[in-house]
Amino acid sequence: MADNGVFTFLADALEQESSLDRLEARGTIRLALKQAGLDARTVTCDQMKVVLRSVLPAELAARGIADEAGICTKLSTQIDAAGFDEVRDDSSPDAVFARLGG
Amino acid sequence: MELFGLACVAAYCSTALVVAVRMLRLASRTGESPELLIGVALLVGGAIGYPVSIAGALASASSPALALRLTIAANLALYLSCFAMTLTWCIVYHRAQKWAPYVVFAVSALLFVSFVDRAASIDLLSLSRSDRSAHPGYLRSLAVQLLPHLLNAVSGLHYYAMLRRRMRLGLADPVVANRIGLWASGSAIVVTQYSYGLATPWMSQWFDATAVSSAVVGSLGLTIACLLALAFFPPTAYTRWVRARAEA
Repeated sequence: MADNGVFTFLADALEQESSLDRLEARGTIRLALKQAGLDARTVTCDQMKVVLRSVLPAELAARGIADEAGICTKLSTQIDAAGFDEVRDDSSPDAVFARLGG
Repeated sequence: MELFGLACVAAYCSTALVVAVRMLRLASRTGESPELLIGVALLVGGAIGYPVSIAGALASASSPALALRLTIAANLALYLSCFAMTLTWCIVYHRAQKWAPYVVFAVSALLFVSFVDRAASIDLLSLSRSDRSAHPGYLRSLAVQLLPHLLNAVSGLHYYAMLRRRMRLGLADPVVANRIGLWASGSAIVVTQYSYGLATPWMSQWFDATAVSSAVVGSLGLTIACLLALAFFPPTAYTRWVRARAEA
């Protein structure tokens, strides 16, 4: 299963907005997602925006990127502007177990 | 000790039956496969296979022919349950992964071969619990039946760990995360039950492991019953406690 559109979009945007190269940008976002218990293959826009707000700034700061909060705000705005058309995933384990609870 | 073990098994089987009925009723409404598979696994494994297997062991002294039929029927049910658990693992945790169907195929093939091996190796002398515990065919069947539960335990606990990290960011429902944790822990305890069965001949060097097996396996069964009840019929106070603990 390939990385999803939001992940690829954000990695490209981070590469443009920071001094990170393509591999570093993708790796940094992957680490942030892992810390948040998310996966690059299934992450949604809303989840990614929470990661941008709560996890990614610290990851960027750790890599010596200046204005990390500003970059993350800009990336969040770009995700909104891109207008990803997402379908709710009812087959994820948490969706399945939510249903099983009645 | 034998009576305590039987009481625990009765608690486990009745809980499995109640949860299975609920899952099957849910499946009839939603038409979705996870609830159908979990319902089938619990019904044929916990509510039918397990008690019939014990009935077979108990009948071995008085009616060997009946015991043989019961043991074969129980094994068929337990293997079907394992097959349903294998499909559950794939559909719930690894639906989109291309490698998962190969694992399902491999485990299913092993289950089929193991069932044929078990059916062929059952003999009238190995049906009582004490004789059965060291029977090579029985031990091989335990090793294979353990696999689907091990897959569910590993994937479930891994997903539960991910959800706990999401919870800190408000990205997961604590009650749902807890339900997955309870279900995966139940699978891990089933693995422990099978492992105890596998280790019984080895442990018998030091003590009579067969004598306490009904108490050990029964206690683990009672624990699984409690986990199933908390996962699928949680009392309001329990869900309130789970939510409060997540917010703390």
